[in-house]
Amino acid sequence: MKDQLKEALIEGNAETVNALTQALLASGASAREILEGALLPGMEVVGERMRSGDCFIPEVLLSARTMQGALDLLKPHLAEGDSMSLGTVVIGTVEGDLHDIGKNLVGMMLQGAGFEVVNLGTGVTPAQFVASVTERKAAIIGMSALLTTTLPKMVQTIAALKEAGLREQVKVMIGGAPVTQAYADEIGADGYGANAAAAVDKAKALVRG
Amino acid sequence: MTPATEPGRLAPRLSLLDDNGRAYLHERTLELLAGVGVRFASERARALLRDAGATVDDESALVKLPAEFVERAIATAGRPVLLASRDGAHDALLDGSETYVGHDGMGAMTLDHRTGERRHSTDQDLREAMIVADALDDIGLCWYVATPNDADPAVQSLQGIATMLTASSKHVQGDLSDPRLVPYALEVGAAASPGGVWDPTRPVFSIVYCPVSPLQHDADALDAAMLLAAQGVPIVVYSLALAGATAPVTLAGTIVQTNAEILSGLVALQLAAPGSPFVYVGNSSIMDMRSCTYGACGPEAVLFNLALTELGHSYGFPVLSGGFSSDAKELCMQSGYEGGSMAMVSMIARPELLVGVGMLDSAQFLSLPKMVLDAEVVRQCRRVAHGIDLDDRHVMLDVSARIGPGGHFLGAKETRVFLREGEHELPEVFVRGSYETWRTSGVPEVERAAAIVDEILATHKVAPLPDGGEGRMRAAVQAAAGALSAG
Repeated sequence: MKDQLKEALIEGNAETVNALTQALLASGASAREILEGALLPGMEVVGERMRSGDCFIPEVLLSARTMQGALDLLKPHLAEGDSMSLGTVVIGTVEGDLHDIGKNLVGMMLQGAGFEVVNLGTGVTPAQFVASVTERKAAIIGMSALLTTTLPKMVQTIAALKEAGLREQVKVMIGGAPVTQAYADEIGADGYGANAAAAVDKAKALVRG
Repeated sequence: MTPATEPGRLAPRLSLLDDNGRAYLHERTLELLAGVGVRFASERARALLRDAGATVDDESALVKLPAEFVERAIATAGRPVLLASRDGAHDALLDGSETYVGHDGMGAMTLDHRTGERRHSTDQDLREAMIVADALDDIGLCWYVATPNDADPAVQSLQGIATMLTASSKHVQGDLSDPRLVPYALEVGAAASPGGVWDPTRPVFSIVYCPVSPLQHDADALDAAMLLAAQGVPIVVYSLALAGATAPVTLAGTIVQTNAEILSGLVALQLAAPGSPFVYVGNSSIMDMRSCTYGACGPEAVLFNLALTELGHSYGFPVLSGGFSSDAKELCMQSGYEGGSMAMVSMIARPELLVGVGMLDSAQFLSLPKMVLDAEVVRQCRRVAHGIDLDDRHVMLDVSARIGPGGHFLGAKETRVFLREGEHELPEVFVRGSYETWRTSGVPEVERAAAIVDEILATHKVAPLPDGGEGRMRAAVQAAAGALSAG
């Protein structure tokens, strides 16, 4: 049944995934077994296919959304203190910028990969990012910008994190069309993803230390 | 004897839409505008629309636009549009008789041809792109091709307009998304205008305004555009809908949405400034479904350009379309093919403006040598668009009789005359001739283009601004920066 679940997730078939998840739970499988034995391996395949260009973004999103539905079913069955999450990533488009498609896509991919994602939306101020570190227990802050005029907000956010004494507690990732690895290095960000799949890989590497 | 087809020239024309197709797309657009509506974040635009009788919901900022609003705006837009040059020698009158070519925009990066480094653009990069455009006869107007990242972010776009007007005498099409910058932009424009006075009938700069797809108008950017339109600044409404992401995945769906975004922008602009000059943009794109990036080129873009150019013309608007640009990351087969084929098709659809010169990587970085190579493409496109002159003089039967079977035409004086008239387009940068010559003394076209850029930058003199112009521009940009930082 786990193989069927994995395949249904890869296909993005929410109905089958939900039914199989419930059936597995009913048959006595633990939430963690289902997650690690079927769902995460399924998303690994989707991620791999995305990297190799064998599937389209809408298909990736469908699988990610389907994964989210299955996780919602598993959550009540988790043992206390057991978390399925790789950690919380707080994402947002920086202040002054309205563009959010790329950022939302990264958010869905991160969720699919097992992160808890808090999406602060667009026009997020440095103060809001800083507040999220304590309020949402963010392991990673992901900042996005499309406009070159808003890039300095990334610098200001990193400065604000330092000022609040929180810089060491959180990893900072940045992305968006005008952003480069060189820019990430220059402003002292911990990671940069050239695309959504690369951002997920980088986020995993950062939380694993 | 059968006379040559009037007017003595056969020029290619491309038409994709028939009458039914145009009417169908227009009707579906009106249905979208009236049924789904458009979100106007600008309170001023909503007030204008409400006063005019539209259904406005302030909470959601959604406005449903009845068909008569759109038809009225189509009728009142000012035409023909004049894109004036500050020296009067490079005016672009958009009356349908010519296609003026401009840069692409707006590049956060520049690929520096001197170092090979791809880095964030500076004011100097923008300046150099203007000087090269000023020197190239095939470029008719200047676009905001590189963002001056070294300028104060709050006034970057204003600095861009000032730099462009300084470093080129051709018309400048910029970006201005903050209504607080409008008076300073008009001062910059005045400083570049003859006599140092802003003339609404001879605007030396125009503005590209972009709706936010799907079906939204930003408050600040539209407020700025409405204020500028009232001062005679032509507004180019450029929808950047991405098929499959911010627009329906189908070409037909994206064309209708793009048309709706442009026309709803036009409605607001015409209510704010009736009769103001407006340019329709016949260009749209897809999102690449593997990389999730903007795909500027390819067969879909070519079809978007054709359909939207024709749709814009059917309303009687001057149209800006796209070509030359490429998703390639370097000057290569892909950049040449994508940019060249799109430019050729667009040129034959005969838009009044055709932009896209000088950039790579989906309009993300500027390459000055590409400007020179694109100018070569412009010449080839123009030659095709000119077509075949068809009359007895061009058929040359008299010369054939004189030379007779077995002779040759190289020595005939008519051969020289027609070559001088441009019968053959002789490449200036692209390579012809024998392989051996190329092997021994040839220079690859990219290197040749880079050398031409260097020569232009070393020798070309741009016509100076009116007296005191540079000082006034500097003061305006400084004053704007001060005013904005003071809040």
